Amino acid sequence: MRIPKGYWCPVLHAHLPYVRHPEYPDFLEEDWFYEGLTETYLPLLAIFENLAAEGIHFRVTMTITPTLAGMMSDELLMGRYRERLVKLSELSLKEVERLKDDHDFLRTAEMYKNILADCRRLMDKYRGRILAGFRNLQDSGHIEIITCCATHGFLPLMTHRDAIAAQIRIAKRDYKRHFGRDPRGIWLAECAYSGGIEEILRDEGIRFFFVEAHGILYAEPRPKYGIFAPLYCPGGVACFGRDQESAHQVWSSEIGYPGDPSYREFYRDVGYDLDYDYIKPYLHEDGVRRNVGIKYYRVTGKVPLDGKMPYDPARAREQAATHAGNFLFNRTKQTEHISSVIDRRPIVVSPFDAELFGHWWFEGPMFLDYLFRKIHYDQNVIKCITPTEYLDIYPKNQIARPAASSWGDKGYFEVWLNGSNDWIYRHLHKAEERMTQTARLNRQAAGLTRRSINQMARELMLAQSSDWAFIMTTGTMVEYAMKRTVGHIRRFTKLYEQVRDRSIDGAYVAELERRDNIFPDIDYRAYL
Amino acid sequence: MVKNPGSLTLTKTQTARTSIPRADKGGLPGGYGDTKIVALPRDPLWIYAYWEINPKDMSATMKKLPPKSRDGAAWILRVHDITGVKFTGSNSVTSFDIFVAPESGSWHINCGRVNRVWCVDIGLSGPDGIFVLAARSNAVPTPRFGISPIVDDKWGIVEKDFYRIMKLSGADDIGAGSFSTARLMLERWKELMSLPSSGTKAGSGK
Repeated sequence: MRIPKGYWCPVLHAHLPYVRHPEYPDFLEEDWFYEGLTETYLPLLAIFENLAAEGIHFRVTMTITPTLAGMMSDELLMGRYRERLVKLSELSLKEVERLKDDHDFLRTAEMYKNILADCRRLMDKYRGRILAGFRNLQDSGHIEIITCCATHGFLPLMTHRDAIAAQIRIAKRDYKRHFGRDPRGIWLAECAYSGGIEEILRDEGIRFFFVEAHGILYAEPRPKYGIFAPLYCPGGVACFGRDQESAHQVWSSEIGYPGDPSYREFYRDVGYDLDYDYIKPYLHEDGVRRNVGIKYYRVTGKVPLDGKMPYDPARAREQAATHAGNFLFNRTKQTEHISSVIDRRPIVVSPFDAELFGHWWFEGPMFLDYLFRKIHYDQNVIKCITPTEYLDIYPKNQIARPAASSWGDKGYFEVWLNGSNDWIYRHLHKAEERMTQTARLNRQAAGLTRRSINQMARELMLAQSSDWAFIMTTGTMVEYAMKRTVGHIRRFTKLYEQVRDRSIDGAYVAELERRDNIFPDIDYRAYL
Repeated sequence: MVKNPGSLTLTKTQTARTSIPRADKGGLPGGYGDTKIVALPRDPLWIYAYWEINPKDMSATMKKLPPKSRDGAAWILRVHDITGVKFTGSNSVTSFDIFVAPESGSWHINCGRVNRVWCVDIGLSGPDGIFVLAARSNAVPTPRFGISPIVDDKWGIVEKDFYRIMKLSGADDIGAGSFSTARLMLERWKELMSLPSSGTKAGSGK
């Protein structure tokens, strides 16, 4: 390939909050994880493996957040997923039989049968340890896995520096456990940055992070290259800015791709459509109709759910290829334009929620597949790159202080701090204060005291997940988010009081270790 | 182009927005027996403050007022602009007051100016203007708003080219391009539900 005019850096942020309920045999919110595996993580893994095997050049920077990595390596959850996959595969086979004479729907039924078979193949290949697949791709240089705040804690709204540092330290240690080396980069939860965080990143040896576009545009002093080159924070950590144009092209509800009439309709599912007795074995134990993941209709247009037309896999695939071509055309034009204005090869950074690809936008993974193939074969203007590779090419960058920002609605912190969720902060901050104080008073704790303080750290971190405040704002599943926030703070407080009063209940600690088992080798001294 | 930083006017006094104390959220305590106030940044114009004053400190604060000032004394938040100063309690650039019920526990504050650093005092204000402090918050810089006027000589650029790059970088769409998956899908769901005869009948086939 000739020297390109610029670089495209796709960033997939794969994250789910830690949802694991061993106390129940069947738990609704665990579905987030199981659906993510079938629809996003395993399809992406399959696509990346195929591209690598075929020698097609591609690069993806991918967060696998510590909470998600924890769930992907948890025996209970992966065992439950395997059972679910077996049942869903059984349903897909029944569907092929049921629809064998129905021309409109048979191809879609067969598509699901094949997708589920592919998931089972990958699960077997890695014996349920699918992180190994992503690690292989990183080791071969095709993807760069970055870390995130340990439990997706929203750093700018934490008041104790030690609590911020612990989110980074514990994430870094957990990354090494899964991927065998230290992380080079981090995705700050919700892309939320405020001054001072970069110093902690520097101390932990992290080379780069990302901010929303105005984090760069409002930097001080002015950024010469806008978002098309990284800045170095005064401590030397690089900061890359999110490109709005490419994000808008995919996301916009008006011109974005996922709402195309040919694409699969997310909201019409056989869990609601099929005869109750037929579908009941595939619902949760409560028997309430919910999505099961098999959907036969396409978006069609602005019509009600009962006006949707049958899905045509071939037509949708064709459209995904068209959209990939359109996206590439726009990136090449964008890059040609930018490179005519600036005196270096620009980088365009496009971060997306990974779950957009597959879970919400069913054709998203095939869009990415086509896109990487087209970038490889069809043009010489842009090349895929990771932040590390770009910094190797351009080690000299402007020094400036990025502006506080996030990728939430309106660009700052309001999504996580408003009338629906502001009440959580006095409790979180008190727990941060108590955690730090307890760590300082027990620097060399051993035995049960050590286990108790470690569990305090787990409970605090789980309460800090930005997901709970976000859910309270969006207004869906609020009860669960409140329950999680309150539950973890109460458990934390009880442990704190037991450690403080030197009256630790060993059975209570053991039960919490069983339930909230994230970060098996956590060390509370991360708070020191 | 972005709004001119600092062009917004400063509100002198804000009226208290009644807020019910948020005690007993699922069994969490309403307070921890502390006397403190904490300020958090929300966006370039707004900050959020929450506080707690234990009963002992509440009466101690009242006792610090001269007896003649106690009648008619009111609890206030005094919001100080401490940009560029080492704040001692009396040297802020400017300040404004908000009347609050101490038990309300929290407040979202429109600071009225951008690119400033704020500090919030809570205390009692007598009718004669005497103020007794109960607690002082941390300093809270709000997120920087607007393109910096500072130019780095080593990384200089012609003004016209700089604004061209800003435009290409999306400076005109700040805050508008930040969609999350959840929000996008929620909007689609609402749209579907708003259409006539939406919703499928159970057992309707495929």
